[in-house]
Amino acid sequence: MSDSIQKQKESLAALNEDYESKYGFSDPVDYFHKGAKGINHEVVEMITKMKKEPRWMADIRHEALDIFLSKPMPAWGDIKLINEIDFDNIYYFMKPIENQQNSWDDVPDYIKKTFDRLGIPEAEKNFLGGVSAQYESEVVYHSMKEELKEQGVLFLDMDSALREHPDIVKKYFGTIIPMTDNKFAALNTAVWSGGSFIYVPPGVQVTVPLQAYFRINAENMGQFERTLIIADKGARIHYIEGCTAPTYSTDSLHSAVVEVLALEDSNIRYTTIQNWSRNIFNLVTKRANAHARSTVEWVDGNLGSRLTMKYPCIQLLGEGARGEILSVALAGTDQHLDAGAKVIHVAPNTSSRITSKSISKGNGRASYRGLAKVHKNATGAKLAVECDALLIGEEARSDTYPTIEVDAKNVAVEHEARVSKVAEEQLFYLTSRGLTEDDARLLIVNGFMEPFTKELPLEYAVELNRLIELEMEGSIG
Amino acid sequence: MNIVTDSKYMIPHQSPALERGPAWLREKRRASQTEFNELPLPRRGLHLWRYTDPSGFMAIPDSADETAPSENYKLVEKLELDHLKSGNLEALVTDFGGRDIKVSRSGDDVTKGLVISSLSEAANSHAELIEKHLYSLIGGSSGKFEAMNSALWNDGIFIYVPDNVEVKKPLHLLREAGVEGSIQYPRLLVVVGKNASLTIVDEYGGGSSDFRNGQSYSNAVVEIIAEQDSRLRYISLQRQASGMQSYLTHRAQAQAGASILTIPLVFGAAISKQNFGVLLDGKGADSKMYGLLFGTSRQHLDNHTLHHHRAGMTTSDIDFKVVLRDKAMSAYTGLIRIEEDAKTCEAYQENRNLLLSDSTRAQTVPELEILNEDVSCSHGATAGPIDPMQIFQLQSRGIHEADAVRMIVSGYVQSSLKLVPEDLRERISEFVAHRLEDI
Amino acid sequence: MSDKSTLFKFDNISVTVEGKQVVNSVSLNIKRGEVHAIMGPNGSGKSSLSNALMGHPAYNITNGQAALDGVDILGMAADERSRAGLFLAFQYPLAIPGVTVANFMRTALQAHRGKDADMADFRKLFKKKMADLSIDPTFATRYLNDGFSGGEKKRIEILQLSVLDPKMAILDETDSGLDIDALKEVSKGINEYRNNNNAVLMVTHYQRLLNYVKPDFVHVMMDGRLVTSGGPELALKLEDQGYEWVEKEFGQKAEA
Repeated sequence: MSDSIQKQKESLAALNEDYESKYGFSDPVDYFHKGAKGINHEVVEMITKMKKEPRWMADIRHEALDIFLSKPMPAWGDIKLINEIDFDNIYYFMKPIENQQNSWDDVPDYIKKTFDRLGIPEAEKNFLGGVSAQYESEVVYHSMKEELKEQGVLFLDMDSALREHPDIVKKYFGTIIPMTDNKFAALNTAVWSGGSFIYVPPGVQVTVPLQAYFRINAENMGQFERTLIIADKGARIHYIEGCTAPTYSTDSLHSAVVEVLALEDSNIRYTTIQNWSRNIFNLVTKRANAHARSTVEWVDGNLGSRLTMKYPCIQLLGEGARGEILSVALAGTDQHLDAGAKVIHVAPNTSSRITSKSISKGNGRASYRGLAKVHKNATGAKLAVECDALLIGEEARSDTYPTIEVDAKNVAVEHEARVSKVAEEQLFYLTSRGLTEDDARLLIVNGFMEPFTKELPLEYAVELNRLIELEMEGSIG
Repeated sequence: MNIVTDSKYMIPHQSPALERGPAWLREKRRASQTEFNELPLPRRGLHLWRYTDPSGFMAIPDSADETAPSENYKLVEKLELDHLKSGNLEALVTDFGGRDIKVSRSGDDVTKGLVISSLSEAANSHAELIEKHLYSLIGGSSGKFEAMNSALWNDGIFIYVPDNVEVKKPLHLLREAGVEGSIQYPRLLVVVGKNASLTIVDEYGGGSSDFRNGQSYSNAVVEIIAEQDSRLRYISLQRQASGMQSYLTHRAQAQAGASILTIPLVFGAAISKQNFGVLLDGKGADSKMYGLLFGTSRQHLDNHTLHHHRAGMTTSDIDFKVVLRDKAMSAYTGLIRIEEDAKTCEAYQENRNLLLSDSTRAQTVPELEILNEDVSCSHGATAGPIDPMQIFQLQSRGIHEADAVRMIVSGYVQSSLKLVPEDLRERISEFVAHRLEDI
Repeated sequence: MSDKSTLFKFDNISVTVEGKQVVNSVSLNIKRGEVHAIMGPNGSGKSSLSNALMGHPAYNITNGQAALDGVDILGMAADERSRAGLFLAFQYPLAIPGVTVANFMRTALQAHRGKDADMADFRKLFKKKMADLSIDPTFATRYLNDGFSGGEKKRIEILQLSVLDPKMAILDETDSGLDIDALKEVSKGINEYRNNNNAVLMVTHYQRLLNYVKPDFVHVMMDGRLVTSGGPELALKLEDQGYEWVEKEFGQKAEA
């Protein structure tokens, strides 16, 4: 035990830097294109023109903008914080370079350095099947292993997908999350740029993860990536996304839309490690449709941002479909992470499990907000929700807002939630074996997070443990 | 005869209800009238109104008639008078639509000091207590419908137990709504003095028995103050008839060392929305809530519970059980909130939904808001049919399947009833048995 | 044991659970007054057979016949089988919160006797049976199996046997989880139940219980089949040598 603590201590010493120096730097940049602040039909027209998009997409964007402008702000959640967003003080589109590259050597030095510092090219070499790196509004680097290309796997940024596979994009775009879904989905639909497009052909098993990395560099930036993932019958795919940004005194907005489609017998896992700086509003809509016998898993880790509102959803549409959502939030001082999950059981004999783990620290606030719904025809549905919250510090706050709606009889629905602080007895037991109180606390917190970290590829788990360690350092509760 | 609802209804300034009572009370009524007229109708989708349409509770008072009591009323009144005569009750209070309040007490066996009266009398005889406590927990600013009651209530019931007085036998309140076309705003104020103890059965009956051919409306408010180290058992029985549109808000304050047991029993009405809340305001206060709801046919039963920990070392426990059959719908939302300076609290909550038919609908929203770390808190919720293995085990002993279901459901509700006074428990068990007859 | 007529007979019973075959063509003929034991290693299908015969909904009898006192029972629901005289003492009795032991027993006995039958003797009978089995009278008002220890649950199973007095009793691992005193009490209850007109089928992994309730016949079950039968000496041999020799001798056959 003391060994692993010692190792963690050493890695911390080696790291010896906090978010500020590791991710908090910013690049002085000459942008290829930097529009004006604010949002209106001219901005939308400018985006669609610069991207040389087909007219049908331009029409969708304009229609979505009208919906965005007409919809009120949400009347639930952190109403005070969310109304601090100043939509007129945001850049909706910034294009850093003219053309996307597929070799790191061709990426401008200042951008390459950024991703080097974040360890992306290193990870690509070692264990990824493909990488997409987005900087502000557009993907600047993209590559995928040859053998995946040969198997017919498509992994592109969304803009290229619209150019190269317009039929597929047109068929699925906005079908899982319509522009009318919510105000921020409408905004994304109006000004979306970048994001990933993945199509895995029938039966193809992609065993190495594909990764996208999202970086916001500029102040008052709005990033609106759009992602569409389709696993055809019997296919398998694991997609990982990570996000960071520099620390500025004014806020930026990240509002993504992610649509996931799992056809019969397929298997999709979508892992997020969100570590935005503490001045980002992170308002994301993620939804998956799971067809017969397919499995969809959202593994959603939230550490960063000022305010996060994100509730990954799985609609179990086909018999025997399975959904799993693992949501983790670590809310430090001045953060409100309003995360959660939704599962909608539509077809018979579907099953789902939601596990939420949250830690609130300092004056941080972590909220679980969830919906578990069983429709009338979903007989034999099984549904389990488990929420665990840990509070560290007298001002920490934890909320649990689950909603469970059952319209069928032969179902098994269970919900459990617990809120606790680090137990004195646990601390005593560990300290009586010679650990310092800090070490003991860290051990307990790591143990608490274990169900999440064990789902991550090793490299990410190590990174996450480091982040937790930084966050926990010297935090006597 | 029907009642008329209007979601834009405003209480007129010349409403005679606003002129009742002494000056301070008229002022409170006026303030509540203003709040009611200014408050918007609650927005659907906000979680307390997610499952029930608020516009159905906007009954226009003028559209009501004074009606005769319902058929059941005389039967129940007689039954409870018998209980009184045989010495099982401290008193029986009958409240007919907030117009006619009668107190019957057991002849020689009256607890000394215990005050039971109508609110209108008490406003004179116990002016200080009434002015201090009435509207202290629920008033014009509590919400649209609470404001409506607070402006328009006619007469209500007042109960006061002086310090150190132990009321040994239950006190039974029988509220009768009359038949179709009736509208009422029942109101109850209970003050339990320091180290005193009391058991109240608050029974709501009557109302239209046919929702399509004539409705009735009830909007009740219950305020309870349990002073230091007092003990209160409050049983709310809602068995209104099937044409009733029923609303009720209850708030009880537990001061230091007080313990409150609240038992909401929900069987009646076409549409019922009830809100039970205990405020744990003093160190060492304890609240337990054991609810039971049994919905049949097309009943729409919406319940909210609140345990609000506002002082340290307070404890709370909720077990709310739901049984549904036919096309009945239950929505249960339960909030536990622990404030920043309420340290070392324990709070538990459980909601189980037993679904006996295919077309029932059960919603459960158990919520936690925890604002400090020094707590131990958990909640759980389940929904599903009876475990078929339980049925099999009973069948394997020769019991018919339908009987097995009846036994299991009767057993399931027992834990909610074990703290209900015996006479009432028998009646409730009969209700349950009756609702399972043709299962 | 004058009247040695057949009481419970089943032929070629096969059982599946979730589509998987767990009992494969098992037959047995049990006569009045007899005690049979089915022994076998864990997972051999003993409990599956017991549950299937009682009509457990998760166990599907795909083939075979079973008759109690000449009456086919396989078309019956579990409660009908019970009223016909079949009894199963469960390995893992479930808790039924809120239903007292007394209320449950009264309801069960009423069902056996008929809806309008006189139950005036119930209290006395129930009290006597509790006393006979040294069960604390407070158990009458406790909720069925709710918070009971393993031993208490098994005693309550035997109490049910004693009150309902069925023709044919199947006891599924009734000895498991019992300390020696509890085992003696439970055995006493079983022996008091036995007479020349009823029969017992004990399903067990160990021969411990058989020291107290002497079987007339011992059958060995493996991989869903009855592979060999004998007298009480077979149980002793199993106790002595374990199940390995059975596996060696009959394992192949069972797989075939």
